[in-house]
Amino acid sequence: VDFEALSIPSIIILLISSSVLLITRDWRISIGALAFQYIGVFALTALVWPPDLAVVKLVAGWMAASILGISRAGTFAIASEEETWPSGQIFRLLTAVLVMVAVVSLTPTISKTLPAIQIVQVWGSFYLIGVGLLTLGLTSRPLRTVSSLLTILSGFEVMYAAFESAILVVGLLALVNLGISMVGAYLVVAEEIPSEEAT
Amino acid sequence: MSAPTIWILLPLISSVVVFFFRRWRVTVTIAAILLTLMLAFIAWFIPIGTALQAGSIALKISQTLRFFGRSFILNDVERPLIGAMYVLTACWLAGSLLARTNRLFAPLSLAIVALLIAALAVEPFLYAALLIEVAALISVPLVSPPGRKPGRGVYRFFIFQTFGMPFILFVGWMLAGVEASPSDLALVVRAAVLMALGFAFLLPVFPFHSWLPMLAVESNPYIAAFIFAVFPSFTILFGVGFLNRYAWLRDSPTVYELIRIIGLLMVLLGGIWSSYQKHLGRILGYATMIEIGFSLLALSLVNPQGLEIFFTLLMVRAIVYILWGLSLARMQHVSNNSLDFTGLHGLGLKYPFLAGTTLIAHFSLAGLPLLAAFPTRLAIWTSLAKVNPQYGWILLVGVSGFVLAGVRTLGVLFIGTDEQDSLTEHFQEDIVTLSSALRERNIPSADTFSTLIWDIFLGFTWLIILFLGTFPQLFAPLVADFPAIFERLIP
Repeated sequence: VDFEALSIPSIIILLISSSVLLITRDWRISIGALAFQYIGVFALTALVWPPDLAVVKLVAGWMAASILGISRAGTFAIASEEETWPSGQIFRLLTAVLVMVAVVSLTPTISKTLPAIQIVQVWGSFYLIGVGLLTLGLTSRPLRTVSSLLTILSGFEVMYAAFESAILVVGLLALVNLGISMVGAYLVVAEEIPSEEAT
Repeated sequence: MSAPTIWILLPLISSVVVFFFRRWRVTVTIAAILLTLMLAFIAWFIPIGTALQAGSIALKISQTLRFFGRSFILNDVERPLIGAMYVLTACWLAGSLLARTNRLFAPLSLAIVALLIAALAVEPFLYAALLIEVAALISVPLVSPPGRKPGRGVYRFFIFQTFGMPFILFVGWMLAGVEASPSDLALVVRAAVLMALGFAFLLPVFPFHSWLPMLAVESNPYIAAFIFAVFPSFTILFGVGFLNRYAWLRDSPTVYELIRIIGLLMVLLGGIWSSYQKHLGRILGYATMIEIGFSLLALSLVNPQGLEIFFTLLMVRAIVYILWGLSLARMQHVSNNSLDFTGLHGLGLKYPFLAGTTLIAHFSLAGLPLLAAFPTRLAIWTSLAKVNPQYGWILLVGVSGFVLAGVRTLGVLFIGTDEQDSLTEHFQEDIVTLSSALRERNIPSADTFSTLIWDIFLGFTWLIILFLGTFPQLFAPLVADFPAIFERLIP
């Protein structure tokens, strides 16, 4: 597979998925967008890694999304943030556009500072980090907090892939992704789990 | 067998086993205590890399464990520190039985300590950031136990720990470039800024410290004390590893000056903020800020004493935190689950030993003479005043704030309401109830008995803190070998 040719489509995937994560209130769409996002992460990582190693990102990401999805399935919490619809969504979309503009304008400087990273990787990683930070700042809900953390981490991983391809690091980063999603899943359901307090 | 197998893999595997049997809390905690004591015993008596002959059997603990193309290495110089870590873990585990922590404490604390020791052992050592992150993730169920709504402090804790990791990993790549061309000032500045940010998130350093007081309010105080003692200590050790490895860092006076300023800021802000808190948990959180500050100040002293003071601080802090955490957990138990000042008025009159332990732990960390932390505080203060007398004044303001918090706590705990009687009457009451019950061969009530046991235990802990403060020369040889881990930092 020619991943160079897939680099622009993968950037589009990242733009759509992370923006959807920022805008949507529906947890099902959020989980779907998160899973979709990892396809773009995989394609950008595969630019510098062998595909069989880069696929770890995809598998770990999908597993993380599944863990989060399973934790929410069966819970019927009503989103309090719904009240702000649709002005809230428009505001979020505009901030995403702002992040995109900032990333595009900063790309030449970043590329000069970090020549090992390709321009598409700079676009993808910094957009993910920017939108992830934005989502994190605008929410207090466990699921959205964790998805935004995973988005930020994905952005970092795309960039870091250009510098490091040790198997232990790949494994540990996958473990961290899964760990974050498990913590997120735990925080979603923590209140409903029977107490383990000492008697 | 390799050293990492013994001190990392074995406790990790044991933590999984303990997790599945956590239903029997006391039994598995005692098993975990025995295991950690055994690991400490091995660390103390069996050298790494030297063959021991026992009859026809030769025993040799090798240094290295290879894992996915990378190594975990524990050297013989690290043995005393590992031994001390496991003794302290045994103490934390023993305390958890009294503090009534949740059932996850034994398995998760074992796993956290093993992972953090792995962080010190992994090569290339930058991967430690990943292991610290895994340890932080594992600790989330501890600080936010099942059955309770997670608070904001938990989120901030794991978000900030997660933020720290990418910075450190990225800096690792940059440092290779800095070593290759140390004259590239722009690269050096970029690496230094990113590293400072990474450690600011991990430690935590102002302004990323907000989870400390929050977590102390939301969690069991004993568990909060455990997290506050363990994570910053290992992170600072990890940071000292950077100084030890990179000549451009350890030879730069600016780096030490920066560490000193951050340390001063932490003590100053921690002290001022703690002075007006009305919750004992929050005071513990700000005390941690002050402790991180003092650790940084100890490191910033570019003299042979600096590292020794740093390691002594590390050990003293752990001991004081165990006692402080225990007393706060007990206090929470007897005061309707609240550590807020409004619910604690006059509690010291009913539980004098309990209140006394809280105060002794507090004043010990404030550096009052004859208490555990006094010798290290005095050494830091003296050395710092020699560098710049104004630094001494800044420290004084910070520490005064913390002392003021202690005085306020003292006032709240020992000034009761009208209905409350004097301190001695309550204690005498317990003794009379117990002795009359024994005389009449009746079994005393569980509450009376439990209070007396606690009083005796806490009274004993006062002696430990007084002993550490009065005879520091007896404690010093125990930590004398620790600085050898960072051989390049020893002049």
